[in-house]
Amino acid sequence: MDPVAELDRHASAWRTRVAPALRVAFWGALFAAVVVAGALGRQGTTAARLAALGLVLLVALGFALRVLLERRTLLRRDRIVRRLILSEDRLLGEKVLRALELQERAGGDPNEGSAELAELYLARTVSRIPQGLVVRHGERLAKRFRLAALALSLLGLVGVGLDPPRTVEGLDVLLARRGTAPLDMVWLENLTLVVQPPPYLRSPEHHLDPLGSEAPEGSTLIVRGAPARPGRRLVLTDGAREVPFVTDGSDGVVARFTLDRDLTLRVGARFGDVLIREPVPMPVTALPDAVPFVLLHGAPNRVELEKIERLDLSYIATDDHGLREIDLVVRSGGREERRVLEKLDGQARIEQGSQGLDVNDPFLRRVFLPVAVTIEARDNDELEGGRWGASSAITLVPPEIGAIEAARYKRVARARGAAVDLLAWLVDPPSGADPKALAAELPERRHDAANALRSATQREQGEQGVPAGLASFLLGQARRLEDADPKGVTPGARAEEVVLAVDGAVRGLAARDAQSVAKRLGDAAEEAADGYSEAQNPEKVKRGTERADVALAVLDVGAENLLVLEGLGGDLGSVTRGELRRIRRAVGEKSFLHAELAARHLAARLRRPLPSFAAGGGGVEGGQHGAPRQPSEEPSQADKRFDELAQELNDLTREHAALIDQVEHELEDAGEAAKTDELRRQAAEHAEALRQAVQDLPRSGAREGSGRAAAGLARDHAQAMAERLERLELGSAAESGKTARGLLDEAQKKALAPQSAADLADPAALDRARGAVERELAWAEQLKQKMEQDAREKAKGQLGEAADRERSIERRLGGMAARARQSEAALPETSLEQLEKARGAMKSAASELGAGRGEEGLDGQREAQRMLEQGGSERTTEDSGPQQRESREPSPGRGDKGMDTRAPVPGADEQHRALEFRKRVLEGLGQERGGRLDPAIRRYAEGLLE
Amino acid sequence: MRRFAFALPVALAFAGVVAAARPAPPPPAHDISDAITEIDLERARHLLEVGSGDATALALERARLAVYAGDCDAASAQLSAPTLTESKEGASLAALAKSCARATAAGLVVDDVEHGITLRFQDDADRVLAPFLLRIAARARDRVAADVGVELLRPLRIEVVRDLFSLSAVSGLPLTAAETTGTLAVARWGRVIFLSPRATPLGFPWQDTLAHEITHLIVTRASRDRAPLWLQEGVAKREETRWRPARPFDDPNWSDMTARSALLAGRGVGLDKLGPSIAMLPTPEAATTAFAEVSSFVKFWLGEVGPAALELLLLDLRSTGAETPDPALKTVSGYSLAEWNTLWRANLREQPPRDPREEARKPLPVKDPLRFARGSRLGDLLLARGHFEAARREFQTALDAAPAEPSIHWRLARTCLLLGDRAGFRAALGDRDKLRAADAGWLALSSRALREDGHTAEAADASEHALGLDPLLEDVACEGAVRPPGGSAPLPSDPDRRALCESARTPPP
Repeated sequence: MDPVAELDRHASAWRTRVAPALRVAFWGALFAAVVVAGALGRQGTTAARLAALGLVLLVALGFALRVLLERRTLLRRDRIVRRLILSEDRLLGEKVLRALELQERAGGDPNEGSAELAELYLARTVSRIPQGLVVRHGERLAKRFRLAALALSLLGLVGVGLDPPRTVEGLDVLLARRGTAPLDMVWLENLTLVVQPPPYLRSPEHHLDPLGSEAPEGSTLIVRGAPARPGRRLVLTDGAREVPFVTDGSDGVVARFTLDRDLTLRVGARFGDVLIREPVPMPVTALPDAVPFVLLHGAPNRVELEKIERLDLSYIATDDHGLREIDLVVRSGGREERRVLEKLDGQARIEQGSQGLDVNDPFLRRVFLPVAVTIEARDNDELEGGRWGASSAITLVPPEIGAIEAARYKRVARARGAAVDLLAWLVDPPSGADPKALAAELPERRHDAANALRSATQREQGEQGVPAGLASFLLGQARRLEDADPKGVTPGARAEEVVLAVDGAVRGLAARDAQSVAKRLGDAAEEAADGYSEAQNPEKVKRGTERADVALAVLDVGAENLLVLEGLGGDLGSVTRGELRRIRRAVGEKSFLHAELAARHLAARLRRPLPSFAAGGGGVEGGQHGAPRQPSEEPSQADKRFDELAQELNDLTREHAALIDQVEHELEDAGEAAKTDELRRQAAEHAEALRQAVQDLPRSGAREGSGRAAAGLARDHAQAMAERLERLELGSAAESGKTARGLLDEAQKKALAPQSAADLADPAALDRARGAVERELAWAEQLKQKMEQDAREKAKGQLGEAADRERSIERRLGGMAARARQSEAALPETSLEQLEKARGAMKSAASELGAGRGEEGLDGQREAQRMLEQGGSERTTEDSGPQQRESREPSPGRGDKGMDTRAPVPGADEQHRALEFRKRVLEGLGQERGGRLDPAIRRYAEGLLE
Repeated sequence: MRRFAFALPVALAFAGVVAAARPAPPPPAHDISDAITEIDLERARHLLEVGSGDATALALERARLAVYAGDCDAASAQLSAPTLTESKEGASLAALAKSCARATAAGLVVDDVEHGITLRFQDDADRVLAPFLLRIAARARDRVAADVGVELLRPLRIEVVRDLFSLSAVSGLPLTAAETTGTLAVARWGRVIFLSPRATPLGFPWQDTLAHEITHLIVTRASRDRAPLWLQEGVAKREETRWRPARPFDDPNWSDMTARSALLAGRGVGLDKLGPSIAMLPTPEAATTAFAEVSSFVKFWLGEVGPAALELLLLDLRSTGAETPDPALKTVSGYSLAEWNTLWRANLREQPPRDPREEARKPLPVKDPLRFARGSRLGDLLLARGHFEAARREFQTALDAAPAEPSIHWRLARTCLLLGDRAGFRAALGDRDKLRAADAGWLALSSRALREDGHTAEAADASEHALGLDPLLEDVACEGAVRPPGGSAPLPSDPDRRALCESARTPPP
């Protein structure tokens, strides 16, 4: 037998027994290794995951190596002998090895011996190897492998059996890529998704469909559930943020997530760096809180400011959740002003209102650039402090600075020119003209000149009129021009006076207007300076220069308009132009700093709008060192005298108003003095009698229009009469009595011919009441006459004094009216007529007062006061018209009685302000005054309360 | 010994080299301040470069130097450091630099190297005045320097500002004070700050004003700003007309007569009660009296001690540095100020009043101011609307009310020219001796009349005189070429006058 084949046969027999056991052992070891690796990998850290993988690989590699070694061993006979036989039978094994060595040597070197013998020797030696020897060895080894496999399998089974998901989780974690495990797992049972909207929305929390839903932005999403397996670190994640679940106090867990954008939430378990997610995502769409929408009626639009006196703004603001505030916003250039129109509670989703913006508004008075007017609303979003929504803008385009003043100056200068032309015609009549023809032509020429003066006072479409005082003055001068010449005054002299009077007023107007225009241009210069200041920042050159360019354009136009205004205007215009050239020179030299400096100087200069050189003439360092100065008499004092007259008239009007107050008080005092204790006692008796007489009448409350209703009302009025009798308010008592009498008549009529049961009433009671009312009415009227007579007697002395004062005022008014008619301080004809009427009313009032007829006198005084107020005039220097939009402070509006007549009365649309105003009025009216107008005031206040 | 003999010269030589190489000690701060005060700006600049010591003081001097050099925005930037504005002086200088920088930024600079004068115009429309300003400034500077004996270093800096507001901003003179006294120019910060004739509606004697202010600069330099105010103003008043020949309407006795009448009436201000500046006196009348007093006093003093004493006095004041001028006055003239004051007052009292015949020759005062004012205004209004004949009648009425008033003569004369009435023009001009004062318009038309009569030299004098009063009045600028409203008239042949005339007729946009 071939010894080699014999050895191979032994090897095969050994392998046949060992190989299956080895495979079993391998799988057992691998199973155990995987279980251990799962436990290790569940840590989730990189090191743990590497260690786990290493373990599995180690097992696999170990067995592979083992197989390779076995195969390598079985490829060489000597190794087979050493591996299988030597370990079992040392002697035999060594013998076989020597036989193999011998055979090898003999085969390679014939000198070593016979190859055949060596072969034979080997064969005999191998044949002596018992079959059982190798089999035993193989079986023993196989047994060990099987035991090991069993042990490892048991170990793995125990590991898996204790918490199978742990192994799965571990393996899942081991296989994770980019922090996410490949296998999703269920972590929560009974999962619920609840949304809690932001508190400002005032919406209740509610459930959402986890498979897809939407919620307001800023909501809190709450996920609840019971953990499927305890001990896991559960989290809620949107892929970017992660919120841990916390216990909800019972068996569940809860996590809260803020919805700030569209999200897809997932529950997951965190294992170190690895997340194992739930299989089902929860997409939630965030609904953003919309910016309030504001609709401003009429916007967008451009409105020329000079063509309106008030801009009415009507708006509606809406928001998806609620409005907190509504503002009126005005912006011009770099300036912005916000005014709160409404403060809301954040619940109203729609709000509408209206607001007026007066052209005399302080902001608008100072603007020189277009103004964007918007209504802006803020919602109740507290997360971002409220978001503003703005309406489209109404752009108010202000007139060019000084354009209004220049236009009206031209108008009055034209009128002055007409008067000058008349004067020229009078001073230098056409040569060779017939004097009679000239005389005939004179009235027409005078009329033309006077009409020119009158037309200057009329406000043309889109223009601002001359101030009221100046208009009166010009109208007065027009009248003087047309009036018949006084004795000794030639038409030429009269024309000279008028020309100089008008000239003085025109120059005064020009000077005042120049000052106001200059002040506003000062703001424009400041804006230019701010622009150049901004332009010094290299990043804001364009914006800054654009801002400055706009302001410079305004200044250019303003300077032109200033130049139109003679005198101071021309001076300031020239200064402005020079400074504008200086600013532009700086810009040309690319020096925004110098441009800013020059613009600031111009701003300061224009805000001090005085002549370039205040003193006339001057000398070396102010000292005159030679001839005296040129005489500087004013050619006409007419405007100053007019102003004096206007002031005197105003003073007289106030004095007259005070006299009326005095007479009122005296009449009140006299009336009070007439109410003696005896009269009060009698009145109380009569009142009580009246109450007794009407107590049997039905009470009010019956069907309207019925006889019982009339009787009930008659009872109420009769009782009111009784109360007033007690207070000795005899006039109102009589009024109540007459009403009660009429109602009783009606009730009696219906009782006689009843239409229904409600018309039935006790005829006796009605008769008794009727008689009592009639009786008390007669008594009240008689008593009233007596009291008035007494009061008249008592007030007679004081009324006499008042009559004297009234006559004195009338005489002074006569003097003023004469001055206003004849002197250069002329008032217009309409004013003179009013003053004459006032005089007539004063005379009448004085005679009534003198006769002791207080009430009649008072009526006359009031009539005179009304005429006085209509006939007076403002001063020529006062300019309270709407055209004064400049930075001049508005003069306080004083009425003729020294009362402020321009208190701001809020419109009905300004609810909260209107309520406050009403409250103030009521508080004022509610104060005890004790005057004779008290009842009327009380009735008015009661009317307001309704 | 021989070795020592060799070493000694070597050591001495070494010591000499070391001593020569050692830097000079830094100049004291007052040297820098004095250099600036004396308007020696180059020297001040050099001293500042080598100076060391109190950094704050040096920074303040550096800023002051910038102001003197007219570089106000540099001064403002230098003074922006809070440490510099802590002191009252620093804060005041910073405020001045700021307002000055605003008023002078991007001003138009005309640098005349030949005359050594630098003009800076706030309003470039005044550029047309530059040739005339330069000529007068150079003449006045040279004449005053010769009288005082001290040269003004070049360039002489003149700021021409557009209005009193700017004058106040550049000079630091309070605006209210400038308005009260009608200040027209100030010599301060080493410069003449000068109001443009454009600012005053009726013009002003700007040439004399310029000479007056230049005198201040020279006196300041000569005395290191230690001349008392009476001396400053008195010398300036003396010098303001000495640069030119006498002109009609000059009144050499004005100061004496005014001071005398003030003294006798008890209205005198007093040499020692002038305050910080005559421009800051409470009223224009007080300023006039003060000018008359200082002018009269200096005239008296120089008459007593001789003109050379002025130069000596200024030198002495510069060197003594005393609080009062008395030591210098006593050194130069033997008496103190109080003693001179007594002598001067006595002299004034002893002076005879004006000759009654002279009084009789004086032009008639305005007979009826209201009529004059009405006629003038009505004439102007009629003229503006082209009613020349009617205007003439109104002007004639005004002239009857004020026959010595030159402005109404001018108005009437130019109206006659517009009417083509040559005879009326001559008659309207009237007799110069019967006019109460000089008037630019009248002088311009008088110059025209003289020129037409062939009196070229007198015509030129009258024209120059007119130019010195109101250069931008059209009739003056255009040498009497009267232009009807909206019409045209020939331009002067002289290029400078031509430019001036064009500017007067058509102001720049």
